[in-house]
Amino acid sequence: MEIQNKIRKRKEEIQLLVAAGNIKKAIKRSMDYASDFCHDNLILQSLIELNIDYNVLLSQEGRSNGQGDSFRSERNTLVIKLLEHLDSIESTF
Amino acid sequence: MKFLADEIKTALRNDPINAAGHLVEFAMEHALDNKLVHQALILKMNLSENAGNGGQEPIVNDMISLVDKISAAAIQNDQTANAGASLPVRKKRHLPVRQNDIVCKGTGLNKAFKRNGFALRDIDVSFRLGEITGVVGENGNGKTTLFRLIIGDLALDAGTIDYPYIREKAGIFPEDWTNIKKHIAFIPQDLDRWFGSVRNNLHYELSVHSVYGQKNDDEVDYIIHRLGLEEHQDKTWGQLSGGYKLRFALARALVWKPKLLVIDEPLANLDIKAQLVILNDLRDLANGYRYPLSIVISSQHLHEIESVSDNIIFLRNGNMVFNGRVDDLGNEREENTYEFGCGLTQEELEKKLKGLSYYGIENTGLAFVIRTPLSVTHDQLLKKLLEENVNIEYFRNISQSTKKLFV
Repeated sequence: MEIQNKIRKRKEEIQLLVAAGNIKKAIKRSMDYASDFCHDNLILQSLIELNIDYNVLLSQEGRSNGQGDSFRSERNTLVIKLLEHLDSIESTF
Repeated sequence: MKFLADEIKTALRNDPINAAGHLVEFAMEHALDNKLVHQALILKMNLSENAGNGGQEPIVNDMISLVDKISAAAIQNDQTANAGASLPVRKKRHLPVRQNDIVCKGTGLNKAFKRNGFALRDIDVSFRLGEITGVVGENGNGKTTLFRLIIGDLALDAGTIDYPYIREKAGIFPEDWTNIKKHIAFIPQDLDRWFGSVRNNLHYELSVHSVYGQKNDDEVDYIIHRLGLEEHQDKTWGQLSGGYKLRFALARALVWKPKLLVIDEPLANLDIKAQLVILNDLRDLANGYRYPLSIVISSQHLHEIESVSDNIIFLRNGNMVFNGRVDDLGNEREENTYEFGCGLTQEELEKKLKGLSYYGIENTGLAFVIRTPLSVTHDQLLKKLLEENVNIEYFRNISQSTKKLFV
């Protein structure tokens, strides 16, 4: 039970980072989450790719100087992918 | 359920920014479908971004309709459950419970240097898994000597040092330094120059620790991205700033999952933002579930180090003045100590504080330190200063900080 609570708490910590818009930290903590609780290395690899995509998105956004609709939509797509990974890790543990 | 949902909807109409947090809690607590939780999180994030620019209305409408969806599904589920249906029970997997989490324990540690007469005397330390211990004290008071004893770099004159968790995990005998050291990472204050790229050095480090092939690649990828080195992975020593050299040193130390990480003055050359990022990363990594570690860190940045540490050791002239939980600092104090900056001379300040009970004021050159009876709270002192129109540049209550041991 203790471990289930730990997994749930760590997932909630990341969800709250997302709600607060702290995506960079949410991605970092998701990588830790995967490293700690997931035996399927593909999820960690996918989170690393997600981190790369988010960095690219941020640098594109930096160049266009402002948060446009396209940035928000692409960012939200990445965030949903991240949240799905969290669910998947929790459900398969 | 319906009552709670109605309350949240009303709050969303009246004060969406604050109510969005309640929506997230509501979704995390009651949503049966994870997709609804995802929607709540993203709506809250988008709402905060749109605060004050007039784009909130459609987001608030989406939030209200989400509350309806979540409550409708939950009510329907309750009815089904009451009709006798049982929910599936997830199979639980149990991970091993940790028996002994003391990574390093030193008792009566003594080390004297004939050359300069300095001696570290009767130091007792205990470093536990998942904890950060901050070691503070002025320069030349024994921090680095203590570290060198812990990592087995210096021989003890007297005392004993043991690594129970490491020995238990790896089946090592107490004096088997060669194998004990394989689980200890040390980052000195002055980082040695290295050759090649960041990424290649990490691959090399792992192979030295017998990690090869795909596992080696995966661990390097993880640590590079985890510590924010992705844009610097192909750079060499000369191409990295001081902050990234430290990040690399951390990556190299952490990539092979040591049980004890000892870091000497890592914050010395970092700006405030970089300090916070590093300390937060260390906090997160120490608490890791699969690979927790004990971190011992020295620093002159007392406020920052106390904020992430579980324990604090304060050394003065080779003696241990304090060793305990951060929360216990100053618990048995007999006075309060406050530090503040203002543009007054000591004489002017004393005049302004007439009527307030205090034991003494010291001008450190940069700030005033005032010692008061315990009955004088920081609220009262601040109120008095404001009433006397003192222009306060900064104010800090150091009654429960090692800072007061320095003044």
